[in-house]
Parts: sequence; C-alpha cells; structure tokens
Amino acid sequence: MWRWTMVCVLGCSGVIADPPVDPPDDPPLPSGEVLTPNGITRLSALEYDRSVAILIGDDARAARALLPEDARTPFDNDYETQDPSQALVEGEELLAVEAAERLLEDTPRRDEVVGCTPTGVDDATCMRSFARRLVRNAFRREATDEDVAFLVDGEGPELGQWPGAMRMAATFDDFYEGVSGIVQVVLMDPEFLYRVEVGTPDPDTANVYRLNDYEIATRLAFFLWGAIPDEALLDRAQAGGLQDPEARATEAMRMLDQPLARERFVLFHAMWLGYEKLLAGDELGTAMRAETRMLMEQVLFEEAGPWQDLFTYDRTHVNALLAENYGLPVPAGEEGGWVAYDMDERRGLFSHGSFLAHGARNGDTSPVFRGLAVQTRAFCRTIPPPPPGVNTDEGPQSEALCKPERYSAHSGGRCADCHQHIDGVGFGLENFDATGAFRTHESDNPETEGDESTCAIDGEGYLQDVGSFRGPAGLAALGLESGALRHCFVNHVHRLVVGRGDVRRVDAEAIVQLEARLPEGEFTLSDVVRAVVTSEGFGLRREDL
Amino acid sequence: MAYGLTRRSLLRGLGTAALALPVLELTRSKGSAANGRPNRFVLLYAGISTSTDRAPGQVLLRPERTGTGYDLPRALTPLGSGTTAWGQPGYDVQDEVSVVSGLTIPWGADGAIPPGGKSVHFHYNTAEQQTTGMRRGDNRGSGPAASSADVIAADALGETTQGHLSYRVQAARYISGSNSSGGGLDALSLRRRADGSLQSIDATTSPRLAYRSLFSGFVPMDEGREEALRRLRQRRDILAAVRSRTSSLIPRLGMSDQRRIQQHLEELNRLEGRLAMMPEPGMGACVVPTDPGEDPPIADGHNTLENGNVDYTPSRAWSEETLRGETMIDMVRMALTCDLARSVGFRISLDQTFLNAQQAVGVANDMHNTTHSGTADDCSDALAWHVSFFARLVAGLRDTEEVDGSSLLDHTTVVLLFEGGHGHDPEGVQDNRAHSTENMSALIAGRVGGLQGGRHIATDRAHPARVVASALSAVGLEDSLGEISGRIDGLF
Repeated sequence: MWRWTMVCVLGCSGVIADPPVDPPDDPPLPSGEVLTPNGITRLSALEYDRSVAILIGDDARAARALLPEDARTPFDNDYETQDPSQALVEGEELLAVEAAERLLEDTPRRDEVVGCTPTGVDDATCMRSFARRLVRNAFRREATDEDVAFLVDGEGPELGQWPGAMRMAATFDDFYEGVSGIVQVVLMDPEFLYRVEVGTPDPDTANVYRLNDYEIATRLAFFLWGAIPDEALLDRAQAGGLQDPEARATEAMRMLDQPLARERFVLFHAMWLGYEKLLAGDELGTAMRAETRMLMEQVLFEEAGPWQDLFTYDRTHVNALLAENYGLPVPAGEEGGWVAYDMDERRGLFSHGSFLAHGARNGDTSPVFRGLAVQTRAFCRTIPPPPPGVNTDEGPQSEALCKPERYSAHSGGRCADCHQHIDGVGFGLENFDATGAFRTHESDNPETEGDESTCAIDGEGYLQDVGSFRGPAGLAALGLESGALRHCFVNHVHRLVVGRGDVRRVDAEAIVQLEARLPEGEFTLSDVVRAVVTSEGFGLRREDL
Repeated sequence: MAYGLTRRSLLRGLGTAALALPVLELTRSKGSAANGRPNRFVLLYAGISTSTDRAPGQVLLRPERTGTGYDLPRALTPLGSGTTAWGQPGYDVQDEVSVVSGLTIPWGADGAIPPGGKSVHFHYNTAEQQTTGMRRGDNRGSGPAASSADVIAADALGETTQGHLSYRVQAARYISGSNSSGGGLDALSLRRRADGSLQSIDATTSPRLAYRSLFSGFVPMDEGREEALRRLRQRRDILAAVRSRTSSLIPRLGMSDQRRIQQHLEELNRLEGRLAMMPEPGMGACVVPTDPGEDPPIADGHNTLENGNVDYTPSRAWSEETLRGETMIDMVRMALTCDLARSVGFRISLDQTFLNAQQAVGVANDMHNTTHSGTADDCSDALAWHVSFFARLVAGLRDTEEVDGSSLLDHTTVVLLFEGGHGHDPEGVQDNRAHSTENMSALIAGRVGGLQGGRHIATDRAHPARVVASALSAVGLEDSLGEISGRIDGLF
C-alpha cells in the first residue's frame, strides 16, 4: 500500500504538499467526496480516563500508570499501533476492579450511578434498570433485553459461566457486589474499550456502511471531547436526526461549549506541534502550560475568533515568573494576567516557551532541530533523515565560535539540498532561547573553550522559496501567508478524526477536500468542526481491508 | 498475612533500605513438590551504548584481561563485592558471569544490509538485530520478520501459567529522541504471527500490575482463605462474562476489525487460563512475596532551563526506576522459582534512554548524553546502573534453592544486551563513537547446559545474537537465532 513515508525518497524537493494525488485506492462516493477507511480504535489511556469520568463520575485518572503507553503518531489514537497484549488486558482488568471499588466506597456517587434504591439484596428490578442505563451509556447504543438479562441473570452457576449480578449479590449477601460485577464486566467489555462501528451496508458503494445515530454521536464525542458521549448526547442520538449534516453541526456546536472540548483542543495542538512532552512540571514549565492553555481558550473559545489568531495574538497570559523570564511587564496577582508584547518579533504560539523548547540541545538552541520541528510539525514538510556521514547528536564540526559560521558548512554541496529548508528557519528564531527569553547574543556553552556570548545574533531567518522573517511573529506570518500552517492544521484534524497517523494517498485527497470546505482566508474552530461533521463521510464508514 | 510456614526475607539490605517501598519481602509456603526442574531463559536489554564519545578508544564494558579472573572496570562494579560510585554494594556474582566483548552488528546501505545487519542509522536500529538475529532496515517490516529469542524460548520451554513475561523498568518515554523517531515504543519482545506479520508485545511497566498478575491468584492457607477464594472466583466469573460478550461481538464486525478483537479475546482467554491454573505456593523457595503496594508516580520529562541546559535535580524523567527495577527483578526471580514462567523479556531502558542519571547514579546528565558529553566515569556509572539489575537477578537465582536442592541458576541463563558499543559510526562516518555497533559487549550468566561463568571472552567481531544463540543452546534449543548461527564456544 502507498505510504506517506515513501515521499522521503523524493528528497528535499522543496514542495510543501501532501503526497502526489494519484487515483485513490478507494473510489470516491457518488457525490465525489473521498471517504477514507478506518479501523476499530481502542480508547487511549487519556480517552479511557475521561470516559470513566463521564460514565460513572470517577476522576481517578488511573489509566496512564496501568495501560501500555500509547504511541504518538502524533496523536495517541492510532489504531494501526494498537496490538492487544497481556499487559493491556491485565491493566484493563485492574482498572475495572479498582473503579468498581471506588464506586462502592463513595456512597453518594454510587447511588447516583445506580439510580434506584434496592429493596433488598434480591431487588432484580433495580439491578435491571441500573444495568440498562449503564450499558447504554458505556456502549453508546440502546441496551437490548438480552444485554440486561445477560448481565443481571447471567449464564449459569457453573465455573466458567458468568453467574450474573443477582447470583453475585447473593454470594456476598450484598446488592452492591452485583453492581460491582456489572461495572467490571462493562468496563472490560470491548464495546466500551473500543470504538465499535458497524452500520448498515451502503447499497451504492462496496465496503461502505451507513452509521446509525449512536455511532455518529460517538464519533462526535471522540472528535470533540476525546471521550464517550454523555447522556445528553445519547438522548440526542436516540431522538434521531444525526444522519442530517446540519443536525450534526448543531450538536457539535453545543459540544464545543463543554469544558472537555477545551481540554481536547489544547491537547490537540500540543500533540500536533510536538511540545506535549517538552514541557517540564517545574514552576516555569507549569507557567508555560498555563500560558499556552490560556491562549487556546481565549482565541478558540472565549473570542471564538479566527484560528489564525493563535499565531498572531499580540498579548500573552503570564504570571510573574514567566513575565520576568520573557522580560515582559509583570502582571498583578498570583494568577497572572494578559500582557501586551513588547516587540514586533513576538506574536502568538510560536513565541511561547512551550513551543520554543523545540531544539534545546547541547547547552544551547539548535537551529537545525528548531527548523526541523517547525518544518515537519507545523508545516507538514517531509524532510528525509540525514545521509550517511552526519552525526545528528552534534552540531556541525567546525572550529568557528559563532553559530552562523559553524552552520555555514550546511550551505554548500549536498547538505544544502535539505538544510536550505531547515537552518534558515532556526536562525530566524535565534533571538529567543529555549525558554522564549529574548537575547541579543548567543549563550556561552561552558563545555567549550571559547565564549559564545561574544557572538551577536542577527535574528534574520528565511523560509526557502517563501521569504525572510525575524522571530516567531515573522515565521508565523510566512506560515499563514504561504498556506502551510492552514494546510498542516487541516492535515492533522483529518488524522485525529480518522485515528491513523499514516497518511495514505486517499487521505491526502480527503485532506484537500476538507481544506476546500473551509472559508477562504481566516476561519474559526467552529468552521473547522462544521466542515468535518457536515461532510458526507462523517456518517459513513469504509472498512479498512 | 501468613501463607504457610515461616517468614523470611531474601536479598534484604542490598542498598534498598532507604527507599519508600519495601523490596519484596518473602513469606514461605508449603505445597506440592516437583522433580526434574525446567530450564529458564531471561533476556535483559539496556538502551545505552557502552562508551562515550569523550573517551576515544575506551570500551567501558570490556575488562582488560581475558579468560577467568578478569578485572572489573567501573561499569561492571555491581558484579563484584565492592561498592558502586553511588553507594550500592555489589552483588558478588563475577564467578557466575561471563563478559563477551568485541561484538559487532554489521551494516550496509538499504538494499544491501548483510545478514543480521542494520542500516547506517543508529538509534532504534540495533535491538531487533540482537534479539531476533534478523537484518532490518530503517523501516520495520522492510525485511522478513522473526520472533525475538525470549518468545522463541517461551514457546519451546514448556507451558506454564504465564507462558512469557514482558517487563520494562523505564516507566515512560519522557521525551522523544533527537532523531524524532521517538513515537514508537520499542517493544523488546516480538512475535511472528502465522500470517508473517510481527506483533510488538507490550511490556508491563507497573510493578503493582506485575505482582497482581503473578501472585494475586495465590490463596492463603489461614483464616483469609475463604474470602480470597470467593474473590478469585469473582474475578473468574467476570472474565467469563467478558469472554462471552467479546465472542458474541466478533461476528458483527468487519473482517479486519474481527482480527483485532479476536486477538483481544485470545488475551482474555489467556488471562482466564492463568487464573484457572494458578498453583498453590509450592515447596521450597516458591513463596508469595509481599505486595509492593502503589507504584511510584510517573514523572514528566526533563526540566529544561534557559539556554537549553537541563536541571537534573528535580525528579523529572525519573519515576523511581531503581525501585521499580529491583521490585520487578525480584518478581522475575520468584516467577521462575514458582515456575509461573520460563522465559522473560526484560527491557531496562528504552533506546536512547533519557532517564535522569542524577537521580539514578548522581551524575548530572541524562543517561543518553553520558555517552556523548559524559566522562568515562559518568557513562560507566550509567552502565553500572543497568548492570546492577542483571547482577541482582543472577545473585537471586544463585541463592534460590530449587525443590531438588539445586540452585535455580543451575537451570537458568540470563543475558544482558546493550544498544551500542564503540568504534566506527557509519552514520556520522567517524571513529571512536558511541553511535557504533562495533566493540559491543554482552553479559551472560547461568550454569545450564554447560555454560561457564567468570570468563571474559574477546571475540573478533562476532554478532551479539551469537551470545543469545549460546543462551538458547544452553537451555536446549538450536544454537542459532534468525540469520545468525553458532554459539560462542568459549562460554561452554
């Protein structure tokens, strides 16, 4: 099968683009819309934690410690990386056992989840109503009578058979032991742990299935919340109508108002742009997390303004520690506040310490690693790995003291093929150290003999074939003007929705179509969400054969 | 809680007394005896090279003297009776351990990679060659797939409750590698499926989960017995329900989704089977360890300061891996003692490990960078930290008596492999580099199959998979691994 990574063999062609669009493997829908295949996706650890919170109000967030670490490609929901294993199944079992224990220990929450007061250990009516509701909420579909009978009455009393909640309650002489049994079974059930999509065969197109309302609601929830639907969304699915793209859009707008949506898109940008794991948990790192989160919330939700403002915003939310680090006026109060930038080079997300941590290495910032991060992460450029003869752990080997001279070795010969796309980007950010503080001279590396702090930084950078710039603001402006940021954002929205890191030829075409559905020029997060959920394909599934 | 006869504890006072969680404290039990002890195989792996760029020509895991009575360089301190630089007493196992040096993984350009060889790129390109003996280019799946040695051994050494254990000490990736290929998870244990595809087997990183998997099915002999039996039955009942529901889901799915959930069902069946087979604690040293309790919390990545320097003082990129590793090693020993498993894949650290060396061994660096910017002593200490887990296991096996009076080490072989060595780096086209698969070293211990400990064998560019093949041969399997054949004769 055609793979995105194969584009590497093309080398540094200088083209900002997805793979060449040849006739797709999967034929388009009769409408002309491209539909990409997807496979059954397991809840990531983060999704599991949020889902258990929605389902039974459990905020323990225990999955990170007990489930195998999710790969990041760059998102955590790539079904092609998910192989069931002993470690997975045992982790899921322990998570279920302990979630049930916590539920039984928390009487008010337990009573709310159960939803009725049992008349005694043998109150099958109460058990059935609880089972019916839990199945619906956990499996994102109507509970059938068979589901309820299975969970409550079981298969039989023999070893190797599920005895059912009533027998379990009787064994322990405790109604809530039966409740615990049902909770554990449901939390370990693949219908909870995986996003099961079945649908009904589409008469017009082979391997294509029409999703039902519950399945569409579940897609909405994982896209916008990274979690299962809540009861209100399931009620909406039950009422029907989510087959209608406009109804989906209406529902999606309601969902964007929920706190989970904010968390979702804060994390989306962190995974996409690669700073999720760069940030430390110390005070400065915490302040940077808060700074970036506040920008996301302000632009995408409070103002609901153009998404592009993330990269052009002329104020930033800092506390005293971070303000001092940046050399900005210190806002009053412990929580910090919004402060206007003091120079034209600083604007938006690229000015944040969270993003500028890219390329911190060898006691300094590396223009190469920063340039690579920007090009590959933010602009979706494919840069092949260095050829034999390059030690990527060190900067260029040179006697020169200052970086421009040291890196000049990259400007000639075969190195230039790729480095013309890399180094110029990094040098345009050199006035900002790995925490985002402004500097006029390079930082002295104590491990070298010379004093690099005598090297003045000129701060001029360039994006090959696009233009020159100074600082994060200039870089963002070029990224926006060239369309690279917009295109790369759409690329990643698509990958998040499909749950696959590997961009196939058919994905590339779908990404082009999705981008064409956005308003020209600026667009809001709502515009993007609307474009995704109103597509015909959002209500369809193509089997990944 | 009493499980039987007398209480005793093993391996106490081995440098762990100050840690917050108890090392496994053991409670002896009685049970049925078995004769004819099975062979066991343990494969450990360290994601670090055995040299630093700052010390050209020094292979830190190569003793100067060959043969018996080899000297112990700083990186091998845990094998001796001295104390490591960070104050941990050695395990005094040198007589049981042979060092094999001069190992080389060959390399070649894509399309011309020699048997068992690698591409020119270094990181993420050396483990599979050593554990499977197969060549591999930059992209997994670019060549024929094969199971790793621990999986081969698990399949061959006979059925047990667990079958195979896959553990990892490093609790999280923390940060991605410098070559941006850090999205993957570097599974050590690989299984070649019937259709030829390769399954990466997740490792358990939680000591608490490992303990529960191994020992929670053991039922005490005292007044807690009835309740414990009821709870065990409850677990099995719930798994029966999940199995039934999973089975009934599968036919509703599309073909490719069916394969995924079928694999999930097989794992559920295996878990159910493990609970059904959970033996009573046996005679001899098979005892239920004390529950290790809650896992230490998983930390964030590094604390980057201005200018890109990193402050290693806070516990970043560090989730108490020393404690986690020691606990897991002790559980491996007891799993082998109780014959719950006969083969183990044990990854100590991820390739290019960014574990906090300040926290581990008092060197203000991350482990990976000790191989580039660190002194020979810095890097030796990072290596010794890895070696200490190997030494702890060897000591524990040696000191554990089987039911027939033999030592567990008489029936076991343990191998420790490393990500890289010292020499030519075809990626950087430089010599004397840590990014090299020349001058690699491996450690091997065990007395099974005629293996001899206490020797240093300097090979002339033998493939490290031959050390693994030697271990496989010692436990009664073929003396080959993947494309690499022949054991290291000096080990026998």
